[in-house]
Amino acid sequence: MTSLARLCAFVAFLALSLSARSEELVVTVAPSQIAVSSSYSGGTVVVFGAIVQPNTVQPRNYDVAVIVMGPRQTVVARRKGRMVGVWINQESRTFYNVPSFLGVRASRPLSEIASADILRRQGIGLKNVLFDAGVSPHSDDPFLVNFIDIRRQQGLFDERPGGVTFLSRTAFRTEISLPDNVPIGDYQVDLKLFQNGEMVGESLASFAVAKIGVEDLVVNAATSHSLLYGLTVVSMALFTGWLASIVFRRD
Amino acid sequence: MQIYLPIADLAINIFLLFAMGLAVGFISGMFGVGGGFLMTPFLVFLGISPGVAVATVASHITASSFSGALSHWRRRAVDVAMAFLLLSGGLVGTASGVWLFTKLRAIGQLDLLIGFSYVIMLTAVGGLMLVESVRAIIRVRRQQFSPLRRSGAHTWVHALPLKIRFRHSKIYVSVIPVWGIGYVIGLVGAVMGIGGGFLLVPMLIYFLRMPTATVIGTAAVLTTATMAVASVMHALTNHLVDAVLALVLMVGGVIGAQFGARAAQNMPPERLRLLLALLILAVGLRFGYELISRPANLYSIRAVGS
Repeated sequence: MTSLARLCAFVAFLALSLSARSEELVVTVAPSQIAVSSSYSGGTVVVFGAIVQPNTVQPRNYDVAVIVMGPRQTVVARRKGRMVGVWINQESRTFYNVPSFLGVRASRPLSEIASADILRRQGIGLKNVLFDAGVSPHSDDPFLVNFIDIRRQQGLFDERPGGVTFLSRTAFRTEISLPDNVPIGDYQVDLKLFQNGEMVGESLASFAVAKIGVEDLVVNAATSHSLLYGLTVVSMALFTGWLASIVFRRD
Repeated sequence: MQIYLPIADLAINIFLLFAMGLAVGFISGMFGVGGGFLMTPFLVFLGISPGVAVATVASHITASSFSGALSHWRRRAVDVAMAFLLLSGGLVGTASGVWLFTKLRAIGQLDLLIGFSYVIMLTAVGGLMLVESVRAIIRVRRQQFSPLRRSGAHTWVHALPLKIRFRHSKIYVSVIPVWGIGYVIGLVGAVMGIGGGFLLVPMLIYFLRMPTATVIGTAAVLTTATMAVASVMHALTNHLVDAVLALVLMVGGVIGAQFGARAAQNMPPERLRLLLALLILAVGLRFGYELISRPANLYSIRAVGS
């Protein structure tokens, strides 16, 4: 908990030192890198934030929305249909440049924070982030709905209104849990501050998910030295097979 | 204990993988087949993408069939000339298979093709073996022994030109069907992620009339070679071979195979074939059911690039 205490101290220091001109958001993400090693089976990222008010005389009530986005990718969604008694892939829809991971956290239910129009324009909420990416004209498009559902089941898309807790009137924290199948790459954390349904501040932060040690070595070998890698795997197989036939030999 | 698989990009319980390696290894040692037709669907069921499963199982089969090939070699039960000729066809088949695999993955119908291939091949081979082994068991019950190889029982296969004498197996056949069998096994193995042992063994026995004594050992040598080549080719073209997953599976596999081979020695061969037939048929019917029953979710998604 020492790191948490240090973070709180850091946030408090920033909150005090920046005697503000307008509403400002100060953010820190811990840890800044999630290391995926062979023992990795999920991780947690904690986002701390502090609101620096223009005049500290009258404390105000704020709402916060946090959007965490993983590296972008292109995804094809396919729908199976029945053809001559067999279920096969038929129609498909391609979603370009969508986040591979998407976590949405807010201090209250989204509809209470701002109007649907503002939420959509600011890209807050699972559908709205994708809408913002220019994915689909209709938010009830079955391909979009099912795409989100599947990603949710995989633990890659996650929306939790109420997931942001205020530690004081101006300091808050939220947690994002990353699943064991977490996409590797750079993650963007987007914080948006609301007051009485209006957006009054925004701040960006980031963290990385990276393979380390053996995992990093294997991926590197498989992609940039693929012939050597293939030969190594085969030698490993032949050696294992040979060893077993020696160990279990009965003559 | 979870272990993170670097290429499959997810964490899976290491003991579950090891146990599956043992179980499939046991079956492969018992029946002289690679067991890929069980392992690949199992890995897909665990959430590993079909591409990674197919590519990785190739190296797992390399290990277990090499272990089997070595013990058959010591008992001089390998027809080297036959293995080489099958292999020359097998290598060309493997290359076409990896190429086909890459193409199909791009157009999104890989699952369908793999599904169809499984259903057709497994139910056909399983059904034929079932009929044959039940007949053999009845014959044994009635104390009638009829040799598998009857003199003069030649098929159209034996009328083909370019005949060669295979001294070790004591047969005289054309190189065309031998090369063709090798090609088909290589192709099927690379696309479906199976060694093809369950196809190869009946083909050698029923088409070429090869004696059972040399069939299993020769098949193990061929499977080792084609699967080793398939592993390297998958590593080169698709970068989908997961070394960590492969290692866990192959260690379990080679140990299981040794116990399986011993279990098989105490069982009459026709009953062994009946069990294998039932197993193959069951997997085939399961795949067939999957194709015709309404899927739980009609939608599927796949990332095509970042």
